[in-house]
Amino acid sequence: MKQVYSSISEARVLPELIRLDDNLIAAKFFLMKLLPAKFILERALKNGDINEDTVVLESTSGTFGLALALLCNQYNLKLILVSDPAIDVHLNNRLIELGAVVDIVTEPAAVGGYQAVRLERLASYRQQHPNHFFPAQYENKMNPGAYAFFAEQLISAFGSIDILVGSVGSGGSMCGTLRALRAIHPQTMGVAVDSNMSMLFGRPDGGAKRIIRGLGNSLMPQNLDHSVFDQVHWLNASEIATATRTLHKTHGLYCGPTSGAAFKVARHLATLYPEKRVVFICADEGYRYSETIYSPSWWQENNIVESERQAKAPRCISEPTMDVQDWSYLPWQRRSLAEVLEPTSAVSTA
Amino acid sequence: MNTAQQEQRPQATAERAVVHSQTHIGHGAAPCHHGELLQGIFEESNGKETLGLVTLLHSSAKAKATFIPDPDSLSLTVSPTYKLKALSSVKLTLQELGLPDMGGHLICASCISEELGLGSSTADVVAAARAVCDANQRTLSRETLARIAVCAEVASDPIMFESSTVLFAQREGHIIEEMGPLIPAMSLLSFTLGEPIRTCDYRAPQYSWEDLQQFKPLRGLLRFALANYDLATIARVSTHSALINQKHVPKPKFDAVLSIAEQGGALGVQIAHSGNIVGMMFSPDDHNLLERVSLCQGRLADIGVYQSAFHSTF
Repeated sequence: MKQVYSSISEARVLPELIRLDDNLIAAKFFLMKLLPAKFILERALKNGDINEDTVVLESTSGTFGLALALLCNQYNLKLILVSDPAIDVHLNNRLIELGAVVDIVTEPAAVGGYQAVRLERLASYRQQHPNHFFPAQYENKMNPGAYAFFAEQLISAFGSIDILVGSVGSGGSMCGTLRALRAIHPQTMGVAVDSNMSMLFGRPDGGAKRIIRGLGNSLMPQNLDHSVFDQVHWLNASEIATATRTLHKTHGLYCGPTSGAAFKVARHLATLYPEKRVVFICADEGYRYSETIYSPSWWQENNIVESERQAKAPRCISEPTMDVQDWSYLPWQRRSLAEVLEPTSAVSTA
Repeated sequence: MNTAQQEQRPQATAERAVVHSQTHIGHGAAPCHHGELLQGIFEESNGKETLGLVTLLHSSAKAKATFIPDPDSLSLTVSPTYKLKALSSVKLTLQELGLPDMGGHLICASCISEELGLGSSTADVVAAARAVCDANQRTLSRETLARIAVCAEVASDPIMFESSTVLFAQREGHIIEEMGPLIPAMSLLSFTLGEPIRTCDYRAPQYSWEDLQQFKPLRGLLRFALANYDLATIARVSTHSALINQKHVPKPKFDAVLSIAEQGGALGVQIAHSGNIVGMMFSPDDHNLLERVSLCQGRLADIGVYQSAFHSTF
């Protein structure tokens, strides 16, 4: 074990493994996106795809941008991030302080919203800077590939784990970790947690109504391989916010909402299967959410309630499109999205 | 030694005798190995990617070497005369000891089959270095021995590390990681697949980043298995490593061997990645060990592997 690290990215790239119960383990990252960002950038540096004049370009309003900013600062690389007004002011300040240029698009496109304008802006930067590097977290196979480091850490500590639970955004962490774990233990169960306002697993997209950021998406990332999951769970905003604060109240882990959502499902599975070892992913810390998830006034403004009526266990559904507003889950059984959405046609072609 | 010369230069002989008064005939030995448990490309703590391996030590067969210092000669000789790597190990060791002018004769006696990937030449090299040290009543660290071995050969297995399990950079001669305690004893059914590969002819595979990532969980699993003295898990690691190797340096009939091992109740399979030796791994505590082994031997004969030997690594 190293005692002195050469950089923040080296020191904080892997999570701390914290046992919350006999069979429930939190994998608590400082900033999970450091792992893929570091892997992608450092390999590009090694291969000579990046030189001192290269401009790194990415479209992001979240933690992948922060990870890139930390690394580009460390390696003295120019970084341009294209973002939209949803970016929070503290993150924006931090990115700028680390030396990134943050270009915030102001007007959404009639078709495709902010995302379309962001991609358009990104394309023009790519043209403007022929010597650029585009990490492309949503389609770069090195994003999931980077999580072999995490799988090594889990296997080194536990030998095997039975159930891995995590929220899904780009698909990188869950798909990459599961693939690496299953190279050795194919039976490892993969459980995805999504927002009930997200289209990632076949529900209608809630768009701006998806008030909790970090899990779910309005676009389908290429890196999301649905067929790695054994179960998919959907949670509503109140359930996610409550679980995030419960994680803090009961275990002192001050994390973001993706962690809270994963914790809720993981705790349920750990209780249900006391003989199984359950690991869940805490992808970031809670400080970014002090004015949202951890703020009583935000709860009021958004009608977030810690209701006694919140479901103690998920309702099992057979189709993602079923109109269920509370915690629900679907036995996904490692099928593709098409197979889940149209089970009959998949059977008939088989 | 030339008697006529000695008579002509009595003075010189006397001086050398004083210089070498601390020397006597030195003996050294080194174990062979039975291929590897894990071989691939690994990240070092400084981020560098290095070819590395974890050897399966096999102490029952040893290479022995005797070094006879010759105070009258500046030259170094070896018998059998083709053991040139062992001879070069003598030169390197003498340099390391600050005795570059010492002459002498090295006798290698080894019962290790050559070119099977059992590390016969590394064993000669290490035994020779130890014999030279013994002759001069000096010792060298395991790390220095490793460096000498890699200099004397192109690549070397870490057989000089006999008290712990190391992930070793076989072409650079340093430890990538101290993995844990020694590998627990096991029973091995060993045989060969395909033609022998000479170490100097072996070319390391070109690993992609996907390959690099594949070795990470295996490295983690080996760390876990060693810490828990878990032979079955160690066998899983070696089987996986052999499977990855099939993509790069395929061994004939390997799939058939794997299914024989699986059906025959072996814990797993391990190979010499740069040789043709293969081992089916069994728990020595298995009550049905002999039945299982003879079953596997029979099935191996069915696929044309007639010669196999059963032994233990302890």
